[in-house]
Amino acid sequence: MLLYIIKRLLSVIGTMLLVSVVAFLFIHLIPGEPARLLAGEKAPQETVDRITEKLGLNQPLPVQYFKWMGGILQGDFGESYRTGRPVTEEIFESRYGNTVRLALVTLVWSTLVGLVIGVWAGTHAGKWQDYSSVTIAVAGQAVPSFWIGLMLIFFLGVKLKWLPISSMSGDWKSLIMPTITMGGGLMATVARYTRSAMLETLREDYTRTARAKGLAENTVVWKHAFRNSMITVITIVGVSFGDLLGGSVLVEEVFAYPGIGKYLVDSINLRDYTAVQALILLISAHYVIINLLVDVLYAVINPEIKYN
Amino acid sequence: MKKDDKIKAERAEIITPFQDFWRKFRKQKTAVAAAIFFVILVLIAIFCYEIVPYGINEYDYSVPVQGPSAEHWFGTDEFGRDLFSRILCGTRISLTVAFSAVTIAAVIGSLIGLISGYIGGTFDTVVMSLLDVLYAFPGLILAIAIVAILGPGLTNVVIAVVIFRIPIFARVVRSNTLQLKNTVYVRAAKGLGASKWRILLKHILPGAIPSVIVQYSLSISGSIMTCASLSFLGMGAMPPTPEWGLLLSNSRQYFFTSLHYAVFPGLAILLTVLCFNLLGDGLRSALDPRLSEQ
Repeated sequence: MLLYIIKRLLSVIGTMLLVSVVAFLFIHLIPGEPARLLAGEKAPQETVDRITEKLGLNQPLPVQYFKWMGGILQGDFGESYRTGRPVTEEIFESRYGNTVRLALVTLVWSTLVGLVIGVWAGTHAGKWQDYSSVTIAVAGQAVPSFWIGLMLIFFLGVKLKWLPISSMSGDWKSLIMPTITMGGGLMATVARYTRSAMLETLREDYTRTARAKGLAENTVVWKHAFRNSMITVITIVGVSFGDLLGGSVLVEEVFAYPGIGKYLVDSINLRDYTAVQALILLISAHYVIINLLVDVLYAVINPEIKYN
Repeated sequence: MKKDDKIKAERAEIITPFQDFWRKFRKQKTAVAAAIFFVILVLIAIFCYEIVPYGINEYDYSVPVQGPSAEHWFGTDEFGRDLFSRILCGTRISLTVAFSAVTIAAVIGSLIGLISGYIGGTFDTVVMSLLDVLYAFPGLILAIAIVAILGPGLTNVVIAVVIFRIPIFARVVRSNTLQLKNTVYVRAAKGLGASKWRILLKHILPGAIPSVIVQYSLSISGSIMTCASLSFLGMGAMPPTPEWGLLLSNSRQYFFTSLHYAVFPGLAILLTVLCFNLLGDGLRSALDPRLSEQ
């Protein structure tokens, strides 16, 4: 077990190193001279030279990479070219917290609701409860999140005036619509996987034994079937967390939510490439680490799997 | 004469893989409905410019941003252009982007998976870990990063989707190759002196085709969504292209007064993605019973 975790950890470090190289090369992959891109097309040559000198862009790539990486390991992502402030401040002052809050709230509600719908459908296989749940889940996976966001703004924000349209105010009410928008897809995915896992576990011998020895149906469903279904569901939630991070870009754009997703889009539009590099690295690091945690958790809760 | 009849009768009893697939696929009503809708979508994509009532860039400043009416079924946009015509013609854009990107990715990814799985060893480890790096960027972020490098535009969206989808096909085909390369018939072919390419393309690849087809259909819906998302963020199609995501993005300016502008492009994305998802599920049940429990 410990060996397995160490092995996974090593492979994650390897992956992250490659990811950091990709994120570093990002600015060099864009056609044109990096300093010229930062300065803007019409900037005078002196400005371009000054940026080249300041950022050390005239040094060999490996040297630049190690300088950049060394800075990041000390929490320094460089300066935002647009605002002149350190990118670390731009990200962690409030944007990072905002996105984490949105993602966590979304993760909790959509997993819980997805589980309930999935169990409900799985225990009523072939009945109307099952069909309606499956329909909701299938539709939920096909709806573009940004469209749902627009519809919510129109009906709950503009027509009924129940909720604030923009997320700038920052109180809990402004979190409701973005989190519904963000979590719809995840809820649908969790519901579908829970349903099929429940169908499977309810067919198992141990479930029949539990019923045969006269346990209450609730105990059978929750203690025997549900617990074993969780193994599949945890993996799916973990894997979907990446989609959540990616999806935050769209949701934050729709609601003008001040998080890192919106910051990424704004930075790309403003050609603030130091910020883009930092964000790509940061988001992937989160994704990779969450996947690692899911793998380890999976190994812990599933006693059937032996890692040698 | 009698013998011929017997041969005919025997022939009729043989069930080809396709017949088997068709028998299983036909039973699933939602999948058949999705297949019919798919045919309709393709017909719309081919003939959209002939059947639409208005040109996609036919300006009419007398009717800006008007709701649905007898003349304009889905209403009009800010330039008085007919939204029904624009959304119908958007089908061709979404399907072209999705099909071209996924086809390229499927071919390249399958080849990588085949070769890597067949050769195995260090080569396989290196190729797969390089592809794994692409998995380290969550979904849309990778596409956004690629478009940020290449610049906005539909061609670059296609490139982004290709890069994003290659590892998915490579993984699917590789795992099939690993299973198939030690089967009796592949070893027999080897024993008979068949060349590497003959074994890969004639004996192993056909075994991987069902999984590739399922992944293909699901990738189409994913790519349509990616294309719409990028266009919505202003990184995909450029005006005046009638791309659905771009229409949705434009609609936001007139949103408080005219809901119709935002409703119909969204419905178009929803129905198309739903069609390919259901089609993929149906194909999976019919082609790969092991995976159908989802």
